[in-house]
Amino acid sequence: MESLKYFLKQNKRLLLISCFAFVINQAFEFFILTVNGAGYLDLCYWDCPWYASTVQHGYDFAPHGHERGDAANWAFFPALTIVARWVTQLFSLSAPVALIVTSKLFFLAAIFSFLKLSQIYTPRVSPSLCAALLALNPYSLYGNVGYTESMFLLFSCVSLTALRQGRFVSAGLVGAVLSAVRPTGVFIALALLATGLKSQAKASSEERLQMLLGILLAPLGLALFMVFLYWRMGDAMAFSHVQIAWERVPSNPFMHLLSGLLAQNISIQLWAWMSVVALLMIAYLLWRKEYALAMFSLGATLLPLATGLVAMPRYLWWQAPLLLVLAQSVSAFVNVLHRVFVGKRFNRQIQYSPPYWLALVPFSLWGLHRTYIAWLLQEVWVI
Amino acid sequence: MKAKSMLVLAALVLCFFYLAVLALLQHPAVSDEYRRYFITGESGLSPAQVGRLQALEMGGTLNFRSDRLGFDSWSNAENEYRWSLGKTPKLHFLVDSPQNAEALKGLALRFQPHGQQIVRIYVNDHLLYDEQADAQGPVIATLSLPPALIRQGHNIIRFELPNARMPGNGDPRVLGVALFELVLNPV
Repeated sequence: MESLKYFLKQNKRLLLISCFAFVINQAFEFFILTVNGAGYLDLCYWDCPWYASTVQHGYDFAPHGHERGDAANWAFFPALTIVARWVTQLFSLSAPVALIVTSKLFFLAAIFSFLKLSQIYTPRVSPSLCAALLALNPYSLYGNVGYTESMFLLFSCVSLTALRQGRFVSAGLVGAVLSAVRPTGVFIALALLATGLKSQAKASSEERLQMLLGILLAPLGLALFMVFLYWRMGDAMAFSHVQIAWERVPSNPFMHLLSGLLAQNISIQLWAWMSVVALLMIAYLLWRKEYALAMFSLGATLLPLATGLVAMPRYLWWQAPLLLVLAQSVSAFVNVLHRVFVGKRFNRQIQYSPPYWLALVPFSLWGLHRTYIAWLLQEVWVI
Repeated sequence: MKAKSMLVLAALVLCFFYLAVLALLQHPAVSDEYRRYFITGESGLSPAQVGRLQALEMGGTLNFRSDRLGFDSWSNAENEYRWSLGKTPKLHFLVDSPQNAEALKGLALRFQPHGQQIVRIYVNDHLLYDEQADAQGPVIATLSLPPALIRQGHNIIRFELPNARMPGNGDPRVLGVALFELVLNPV
């Protein structure tokens, strides 16, 4: 109880900002749903029913879905469904509703954990800017629709925060959960490895052992899922092999990128350019010697890119390192504007950028509105 | 010292566990059909497709959604056609008796090439069609079947599409021809 009080006291401001951003996001969503005569259940679409089938009936024994009968819910990692199943039992909710509620709870927690992360990695960027960037961007939709994005962001932020604080075993334990959230979660092991290699020279032998254990813990969630799949249906790699049902067979990611850049379709071109921007952000992180963030994002970008450009926005804009760079960029842009128009420098020790970024919020909300409408109309570009 | 020993022990346990997982990866306990479709990619016909394939009824037309064709390395059906995937898509079909095998004298395939395509068509590994096709309009490939080429049981129409390629619009599929229908014993 004392520690909770201490936690609340220490984090009062960040908690308030997180809650405020989350409430605005939820109010905006409620407004869109109401105006369009839709309900919360309409949000459970595309992958969400697959997760719901897992919550209700567990993992399939054999493939059955799609026209070729080759789709199964093995592609959908277990961490979110386990928590959603607890939520269904605790509150007697249907599986789709429980998934939506669970993803929203993780979304709130993810905003707070992202603010904590940003305080460590980019302390000069205003927490309000970071919260708005996360809660009001056009792809924040995915935090509300029974997908794994919010859980992924939460656990990646917690793991990266623990890593920066030198708590390798904690980072590895959280990483173990992350690797059971979605396949790209396993790349947190690269972040641990990069940090371990960087700091092992000055570490004691016990600290080195902790680093090693942290790195070994990170893929544990994925490995347990593989063992489960083997026990369930005989193929430990079924989560990857079943991707053939969605025609997402891995190949050279840069071929997909090039093909997208030359595409006639505007959405595909946009996703390709987003991927290029993401790779540039990763290069920037490497240049800043933020190896842990860079390695995590490199894996989390190239793996989905290897299976095509579809759904790239949600794979990119729920990655903590990329969001940090984005927040930094907006903040730097605002500083430049201030210097040009007001002509004063800030006292960078104590002051955040002036909130000119608020001018971007209406554009961002317009984008979010557009994404919601596309989702409700089941347009393929928001899959 | 005790903490160090615990760390070493935990690391060793994890290493052994991962080795066991690697061993499981090497030995999937699945059917041959599953292995050939999902793991090695030797077959483009899913186990469910194999299970529901029905024998041909002589005469008539089978469209791109027919249950009597096994679409091996073909995409999901669209509204009017079905795209081939890769350079060697196949169509599997079953013939339930020697009489029916003998009765099948010819086939006609109607398809739309994806741009310029060299299209070779084999029936049970015999080359019966070799043409260059372009995207001006649908192509009808009429195949005259030599006696005894069609057999009772499993038969395969195999395409060779060396120019199949990604459409360049971000679609990661390697497309060759869009199939509309297969006519049995065309007049």
